[in-house]
Amino acid sequence: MSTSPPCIRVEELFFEYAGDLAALNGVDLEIAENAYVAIVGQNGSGKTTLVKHFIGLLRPSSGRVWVYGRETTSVSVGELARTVGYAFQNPDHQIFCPTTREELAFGPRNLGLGAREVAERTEDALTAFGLLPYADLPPAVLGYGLRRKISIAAVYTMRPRILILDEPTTGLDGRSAHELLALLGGLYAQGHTILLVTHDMRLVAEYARETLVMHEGRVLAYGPTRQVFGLAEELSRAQLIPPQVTRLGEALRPYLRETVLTVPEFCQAFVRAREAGP
Amino acid sequence: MSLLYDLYQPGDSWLHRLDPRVKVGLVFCGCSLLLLFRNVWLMLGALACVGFVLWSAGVARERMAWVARMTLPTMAMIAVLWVIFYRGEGRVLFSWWFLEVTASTIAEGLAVALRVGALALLILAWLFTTDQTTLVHSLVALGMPYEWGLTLAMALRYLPTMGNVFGMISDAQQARALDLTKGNPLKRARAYLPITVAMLITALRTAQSLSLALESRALGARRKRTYLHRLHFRRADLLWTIGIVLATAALLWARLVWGFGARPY
Amino acid sequence: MAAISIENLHYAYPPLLPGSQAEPVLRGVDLEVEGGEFLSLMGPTGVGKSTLCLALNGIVPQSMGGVFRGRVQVLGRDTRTTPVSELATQVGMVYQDPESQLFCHRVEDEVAFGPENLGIPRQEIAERVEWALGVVRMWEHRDRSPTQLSGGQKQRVAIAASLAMLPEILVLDEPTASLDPVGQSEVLSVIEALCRERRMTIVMVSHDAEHIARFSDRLAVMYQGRIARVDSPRKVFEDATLLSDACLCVPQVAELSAALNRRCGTAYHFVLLEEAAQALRGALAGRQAAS
Repeated sequence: MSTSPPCIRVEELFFEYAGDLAALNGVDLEIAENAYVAIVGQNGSGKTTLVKHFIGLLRPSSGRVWVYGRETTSVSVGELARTVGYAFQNPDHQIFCPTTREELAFGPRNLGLGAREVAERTEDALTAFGLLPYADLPPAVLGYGLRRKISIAAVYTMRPRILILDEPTTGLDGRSAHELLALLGGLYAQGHTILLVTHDMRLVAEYARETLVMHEGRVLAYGPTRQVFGLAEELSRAQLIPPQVTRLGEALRPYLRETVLTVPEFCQAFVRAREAGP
Repeated sequence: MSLLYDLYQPGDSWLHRLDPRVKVGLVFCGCSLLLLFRNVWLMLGALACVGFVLWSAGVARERMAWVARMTLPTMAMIAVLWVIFYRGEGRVLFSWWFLEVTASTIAEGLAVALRVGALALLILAWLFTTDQTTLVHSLVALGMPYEWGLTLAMALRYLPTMGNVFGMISDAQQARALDLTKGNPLKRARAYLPITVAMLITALRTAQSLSLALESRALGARRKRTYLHRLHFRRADLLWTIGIVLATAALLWARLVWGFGARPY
Repeated sequence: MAAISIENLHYAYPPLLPGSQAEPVLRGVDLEVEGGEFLSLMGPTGVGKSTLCLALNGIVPQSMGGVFRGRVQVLGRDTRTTPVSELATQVGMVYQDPESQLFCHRVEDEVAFGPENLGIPRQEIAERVEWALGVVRMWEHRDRSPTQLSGGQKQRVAIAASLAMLPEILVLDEPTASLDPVGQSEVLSVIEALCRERRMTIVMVSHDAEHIARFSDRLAVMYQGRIARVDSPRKVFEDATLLSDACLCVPQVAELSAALNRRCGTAYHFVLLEEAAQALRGALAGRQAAS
């Protein structure tokens, strides 16, 4: 584990929506820099509410949230947007420009960057996300998969150190989902911190280094993915179903001892168990 | 804000139970009469009357407070502006610069202000005690084409949804460092453009999906449509209808033939 | 006679800008669905699955326009000439987004909407509403506003609203895509019961390979505007070339079978968790017994 200070720190966070709907019931959390965390839990467990605090869209009812040492209540959303990028669940909530290029330029322009810098970042994002063929087309008429990519690219152009993605793979077919997560893996390798809010446990197992389980407004478990996926009781309490290979590993419990996350891992473990004997 | 989306307050008062078609008639006649009379004492009486109706319908105190907050400033402004800009006949009570205040302008201004209040309260009394489905049903029963009624009902149903969408889009664009607070009013209005456009696109998409859903459920299959819920016209409703018709006729006669209530005071 | 019969279907939407070329979406689809069958439909995003669904209740081409060639027959009726409102009584349609297919103020009114349009007598409407909400287990929520329901509950109401028209075929376009796991299992169990207990023909578009493997009788894969293959899920998930071409995911245990077969020379063909667990446990136990 790195010894640098955490990029996100949460202390005794409580949040209530208007009408006394308690959404967060005491969250304490520290997320290290260059982490890749998947945030999982049922709808209503507080996942989205929690991450909205990191970009300052929500202010704590009580408790404190720090991002890179600055308390979120002391900074405007626009300021926090320089450090924290948030790609919303529905790409159509962000898309409004007549061309893809302009859509990607919107964020950096709002940050007050010069025209040349904006153009550079836009071209870089178009290339990195494979959007060059669509650069001059209106994003609103493109297919859902492309709109999804564009909305994430539009956040990427702001070069935030922390990238939060809310359900980025819903509605995407298998290959598109893996392509997107491979892209995110590339960003992670460049040093970004990735927070992925998702229901897809299979993708969590394959890509996320750490997993945070939310349930009824509290953190039920937080740690390396392998460790969290082994906590059968917590996962069932949060009504989460691990990927098939993990469940298969559990079903072969006496023979396979470790928690299995992916197909290649299972193969290895199975072959080892077969050769091990009693 | 949420009150604006769903004005209906469930209850079991006489006004709730009144047939919604009779309520439409009551509101129509009431508004027409309010627009015809000009006397300030009559307006005061009308306002008190409608206020009493709301109270007897069991409308919650928070709602009455909300209504007061909405209407009293407007009423006060109307009265003041009327006095400033209109010149009446009769003795001048007070004069300053271009201002000439007579007793009749004061009375007229008050009458107009009170009328606005009474109109608002009457319509709110209707909306507070009729749920949206029944409201549309009653309008269709009175002759409005079904498609218009459906459009109205869907518009009301999607108000809170679109309100939520506005909030989400606003959040999403602010997360891209869109600043909604800086600059003069014109600049701020322009800053809302990303939100407005995204909302329009979302609304269009929703409309398209809705149209598919409506077709899949055989909208327009038959000329004659049936309804699950029936409107019941009881004896009490008949008595109310007769009462409203007679009262309206009598008041119209008094106003048009005798000139009752035509003078401000 | 098949419940659904699609012959050489070609379709292109009207072009976005007048005067430009219409892009064909469906390029020669052939498909037959038997009555009482549960058919799943998979394919890459944008391949035309939703368009194919809309062709089953006549909205394509009657309401959408565009260029339509070929023939689609549903329960013996041609979808090009039979009015959409009539086809709606044979084919129920449930769409992906729960928010934009529930437009009434109360659940009960939503389910009654379809029969009301058909001019069905009031007493019968009430009976159908009670039955349909009972089937999807939402009868206790009949007075609530759809905006207060969870995603899974909303989709179940959408299914009930289609059921109230008493269709023989139910078409669902990614009904669980925007739902959390609890919502997904609620909706899927309702759909599966409809097929098994009421012998309804189900056509469901989905990306979830594991659900498909568990519930479908057959799986049709769409690729490049055509049905590339339609067979039992087991056989389709073994066709590695097809799956990689069509960008599809298979159940993890199927992926695992292929990996184990390559590594250990075995001949596993799992699509369900239970069969994999049983076989592998047997293999490990046998191995241990032998050594």
